[in-house]
Amino acid sequence: MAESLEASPAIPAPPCRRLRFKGMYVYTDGFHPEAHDDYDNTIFWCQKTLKDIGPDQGFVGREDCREGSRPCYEAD
Amino acid sequence: MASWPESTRLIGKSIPRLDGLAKASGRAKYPSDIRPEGMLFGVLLTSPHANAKVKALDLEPARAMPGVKGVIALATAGETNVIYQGQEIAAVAAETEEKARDAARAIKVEYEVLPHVVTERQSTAEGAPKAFAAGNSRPGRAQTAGKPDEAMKGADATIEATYELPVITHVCLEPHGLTAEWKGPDSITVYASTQSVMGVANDMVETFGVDASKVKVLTEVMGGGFGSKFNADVWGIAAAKLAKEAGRPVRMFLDRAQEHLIGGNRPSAKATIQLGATKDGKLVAMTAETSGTGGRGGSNFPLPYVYHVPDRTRSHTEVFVNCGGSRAMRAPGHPQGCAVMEAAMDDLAHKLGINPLEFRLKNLAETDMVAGGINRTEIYHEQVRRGAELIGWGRWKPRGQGGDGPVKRGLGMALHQWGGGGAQDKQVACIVNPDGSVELRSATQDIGTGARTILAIIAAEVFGLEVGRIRSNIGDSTFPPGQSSGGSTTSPSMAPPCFDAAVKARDELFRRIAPGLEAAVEDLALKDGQVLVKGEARLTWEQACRKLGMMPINVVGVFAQGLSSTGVGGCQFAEVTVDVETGVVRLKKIVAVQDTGLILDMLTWRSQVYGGVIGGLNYGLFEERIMDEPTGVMLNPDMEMYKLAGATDIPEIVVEAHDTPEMRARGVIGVGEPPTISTAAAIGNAVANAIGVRVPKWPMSPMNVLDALAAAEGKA
Repeated sequence: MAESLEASPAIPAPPCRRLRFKGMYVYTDGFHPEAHDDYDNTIFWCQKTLKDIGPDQGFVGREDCREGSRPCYEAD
Repeated sequence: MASWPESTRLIGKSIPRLDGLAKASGRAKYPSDIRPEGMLFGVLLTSPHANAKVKALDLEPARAMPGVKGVIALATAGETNVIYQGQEIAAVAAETEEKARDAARAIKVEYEVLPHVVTERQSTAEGAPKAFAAGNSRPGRAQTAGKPDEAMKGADATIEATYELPVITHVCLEPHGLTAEWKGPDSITVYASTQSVMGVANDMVETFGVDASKVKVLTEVMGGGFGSKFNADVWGIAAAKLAKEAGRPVRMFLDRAQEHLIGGNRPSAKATIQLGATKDGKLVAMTAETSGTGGRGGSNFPLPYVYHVPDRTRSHTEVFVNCGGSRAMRAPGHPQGCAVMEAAMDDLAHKLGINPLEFRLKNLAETDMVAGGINRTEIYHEQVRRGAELIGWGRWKPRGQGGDGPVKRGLGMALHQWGGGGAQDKQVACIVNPDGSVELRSATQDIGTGARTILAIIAAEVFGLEVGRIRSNIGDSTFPPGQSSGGSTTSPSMAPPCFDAAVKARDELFRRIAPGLEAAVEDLALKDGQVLVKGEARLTWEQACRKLGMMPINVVGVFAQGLSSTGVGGCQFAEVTVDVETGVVRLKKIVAVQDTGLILDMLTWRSQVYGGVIGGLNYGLFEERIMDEPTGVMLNPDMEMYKLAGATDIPEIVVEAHDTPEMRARGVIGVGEPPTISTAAAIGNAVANAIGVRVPKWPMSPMNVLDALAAAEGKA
């Protein structure tokens, strides 16, 4: 399935340093053969709460935990 | 480019796992078995409500209970909004588990109960309470290729149907948890049931601010994770806090109900698919509206999965519910995508009057290139041909011809794929001692796959020793960085550095003993526990190692290109009987054909495939989280009403390795996930073939089968 697909544009702001997902543990060398370009189903959690909700009780996610998005954001 | 030995003595053979006897005899100590001196039992108090504000929290009654050594709050009165049943409120440590449970029950919590949504239906209903500030749903990633509406108009045949899979939970036999033991004010040892000793160690460092060098996480063996055990979890951190407070080790593992509620789950999937093809069976267009819920996480899945549909569009909606959060589960997204697409393929083949096997092969991409220059489409053709032989596809009949009596017989099939691969930054230390003992060390872990054994096999192959001579020492976070076990990446990540370490150690041994043998290093070889010089046995392994004197060999191996790869395919076939009077489905036979590159241990490889198939038939036939909409609680958080297969539900399972010289040349690829993907899809298609009616909802339970039959008769 190599055709190009229209997908949501990536948001460039850096993620919170507490954001976690399985790929961070598994693809530590940065190469991700299952990049989910066409169907992102990544499950995120916050390292601070160890839940899918953050310290502010908002959702945790790739777009939810970007710089400037919420008061609990922590930079690297 | 590195390569594995062309001729092998051990690699690829069937070798029992090193810890098999210990596990079978009960001698193996799982993290939940560990009892450090003075250990206290931890118990978690959780919310009975799906959505509520914590108005007041009084821990003092628990603190006053006999035998209680520590109590901590995990929620804050006036601040915490509980958003699912099972959310952590407080934790207690006491001398016995019973005292801890009594104390947890004594904690006083005042809730303001709020309206909840615990099912997709409830969450998306008109007028549903807004359970989350961000709303009850969110659009997922959309895809469009070509002009699907236009292409659909040109189709000779179309089907439109809605297929559904429920939320299922991980049901790890060993619950989530750990035992924490402080070795001083700033040094902690943790016995964790985890897929990532390094991940749990990182959580301890981040939470307690201790030096990484003073954190040790140990996982000698563990009882299943399936993607749900990567971090320390709220209760693990609570155990460490209580251990610090009490000055004694604390064991904190979930009970079975908590395991179902907060130990992770696989998102549901719902797909309304329109699929069109030409009369000769070539797919032309697909439109799909899909949704799912994983609590608050991602629920998307791949479509049109392994098939080539030139013009297609797909939109997805993430639905949020007041239930425990989802976690990665064995091949995340693939079982759902496979099930709905394979059902649609079968339904369209039926409408076209084409054998569904031929219809599938006709609609694979002409080229589907994966690593190593492999065209997966060609592999699929070979696998499907072999699988068809093994199941006896020649007996296949069109739908509705499953027999004259109430018990109908049917055949079904499905294809799957997986990426796998691994990380290229892991290390394995290899130590050869003067007494001849050999030890491998790495901070990876064996989650039941046989990882410990395959590392020993590699080293034994290089050293010319028996596998049992190698101590494969993993599950310790203080060892050289090892792979977290997820995504079928452990073997492809760890086998290359293990091979490199063993080769380096062997070469160092040769360098140090060659002068004493008056031989050139290149003339030395190892075979059957002997050192050979130009093919002639000169020393035993032990004699050679004694020549190391007081200095062991200690080397670290790293990744090398050429030893592992990525991108696999497989297919499965199912034969079932269905009693149309009771709706009971019985499995008669499953055939699983799978490629995964170079197979290091055929026995543990086959074990992985058996396990994958059994996992797949569980969610194909039995598993379903049932939420009660009025009360917001899970109705089956146990192992009685949350149905799983028993021994008599397991059919004959034929495992066929697509093990060819071409595959072996690819190097190692993991097999943890691929074989669980297509089982439920194949079962669903076999049921449709048997009874002549599509059962659109998994599991293929009596209720879902009878509902489908009733709907077909216009009685639903």
